[in-house]
Formats: sequence, structure tokens, C-alpha cells
Amino acid sequence: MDQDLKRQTDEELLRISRDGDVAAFGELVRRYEAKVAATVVGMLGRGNEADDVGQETFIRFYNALKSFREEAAIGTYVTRIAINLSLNELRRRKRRRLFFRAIDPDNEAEEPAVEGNSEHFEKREIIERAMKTLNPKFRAVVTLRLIEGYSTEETANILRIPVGTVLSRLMRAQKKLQTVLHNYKEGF
Amino acid sequence: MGRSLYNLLVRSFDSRLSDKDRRRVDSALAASEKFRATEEDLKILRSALRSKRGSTFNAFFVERVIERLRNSRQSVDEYFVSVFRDLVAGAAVLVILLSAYNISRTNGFTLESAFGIHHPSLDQILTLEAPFE
Repeated sequence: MDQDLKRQTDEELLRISRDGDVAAFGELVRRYEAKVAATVVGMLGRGNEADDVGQETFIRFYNALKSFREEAAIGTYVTRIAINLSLNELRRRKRRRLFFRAIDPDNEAEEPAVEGNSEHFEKREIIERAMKTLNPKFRAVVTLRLIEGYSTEETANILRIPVGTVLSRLMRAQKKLQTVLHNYKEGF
Repeated sequence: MGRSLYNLLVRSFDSRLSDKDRRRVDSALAASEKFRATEEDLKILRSALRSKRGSTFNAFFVERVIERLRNSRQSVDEYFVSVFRDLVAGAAVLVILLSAYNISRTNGFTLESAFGIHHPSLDQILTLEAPFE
């Protein structure tokens, strides 16, 4: 049965999933998990929250199957959902941080400490920390263009912003990342 | 290295520069070691970011998504069952209240009085006005 599903095209799996076959949808999840993971982990960092947002991305996609138009690529569609949910999560985190700072002004948790002893961190972890210093709008562009490898046009299309904005955000984000990563240069 | 030259260098990774700008960047790269080092830094940064592409979720991600979908479908069924249960309970309460009201309006407790079933006597029927008279 699983082998049958693996042989199906995305379009066939979509059709079967629309009829309520959750197993067929599971095969679609398997195919697009890595793409969504790259987006969500790029935006939020690794952890349970990223996992929850990843699950929610596919649940939303499943619920939208009936209205999903097949001329849109599944990858682009789920990436857009993932980006939007990640941005929501980042807003929630910010509100939470503001709230905790309000009730406990000494609480400066969550914001990554970029100075420090670079030997203790792996390259991925350093990048993750540096990414967290970026404004979410910039982080989204970096995730799509530099991590996922979408073209600037595709990135603009997913985020529904002009290509020029993508380019300028990329430029500013890279400048910021270079500054932040400067301390860790030996680690690379 | 000027700011505009740096911007052009960064931009050159993501979009096609005009011939004039391309020549500016190339000649700066040929002339300045610092500029070449900056280009190298950018390449390292971009390659480090690309290495994040292999990110994955926690184990059994697909299974957990499927589980959630199955549970959400189950909860829709449960929702309808609970709505139906409430409707039945509401209807039963209404029947009891109406029966109590009917009983209170009659002298004795009978099934007919409880459900408001009225059996007219022969006299009552005879005294009724004939509709076509």
C-alpha cells in the first residue's frame, strides 16, 4: 500500500487526499517535510515549537486541499503557509518576551548572546543564533533565498513583496549577519 | 572600499549586475585584497546558511501529523454526537415540562392528561355546530 502511494504523482496524491485518504496525504507530508523543515527551522531555530509549526503547516494545507488550485506548486504553497505561521510564532514570542520583561525587568532571556566562546558552538548553532538577531522580515528572506535556495523572484512571490525589496532586505541581512558572525570567524 | 561597491558585491550574488557595475566589481576585486576577503566572507556566510538546508523535524513527524489529522476528524464526529446528545436532552426536558403543565391543568394524573390528549364526550360532539348547516 505504501509502495503504491510512493509511486503516485503529487497530483494523484492530492486527488486521493481530497477524498479523505489521510495515508495519501501522509505521503505528501513525507515529500515536503524537508522543505517545510528548512523554512521553519530557518525562521524559528530547532526545537518543539518548530515541530509544532511544521505540523500546523500541514494541517492547514490538508484543510485547504479543496480550495488548493493545482497551478500553484505544492512546495511554494506549503512554504508560504510555513513562513506565515513562523512569523506569527515570532510575534507571539515577542509579545511573551515583552510581557515577561514587564513583570520582571531583569528577565532578558531568549535574545541570543552573540558574544561568547565560539569554540563551544557548532557552525549550525552559530548560524542559528546569528539568524535570531535578524528582524523576522529579513529572516524570512534569508531563509527562502539563502537556506532554501529559492530564486529572488520566487522569494518575492512567496512573500508577496517586490523583487527590489527582496534584494535590499538580503543585502541588509547579510551585512548584519557578517557583523554578528565576525566574532566567530575562526569557527568557520 | 566604498559602501556602494560593497552593496554591488552583495547584490552580485543574487541578481545580474549591469555590465558597468560588473566591471566596477571585477576591477575592485582585482585591485583590492580587502575587497577579495570581503567576497570570501560572503561566500563562507552563504555556504554556512546553505548547510542548514538539511534541517529536519523531530522523529516520526509524518506519523504525528497523520495522528493529529485522524484525531481532528474524530473530534468532528464527537462534536456531532455531543450536539445530538444535547438536543435529545433538551427535547426530553421540554416533554417533561409540558407534561407537568398539562397535568397541573387537569384534576387527575392520566396518560391522556399528561400528553394533552383530549377525548370529547358524545354530548360535546353533538353540541358542536355543524359546519355546513
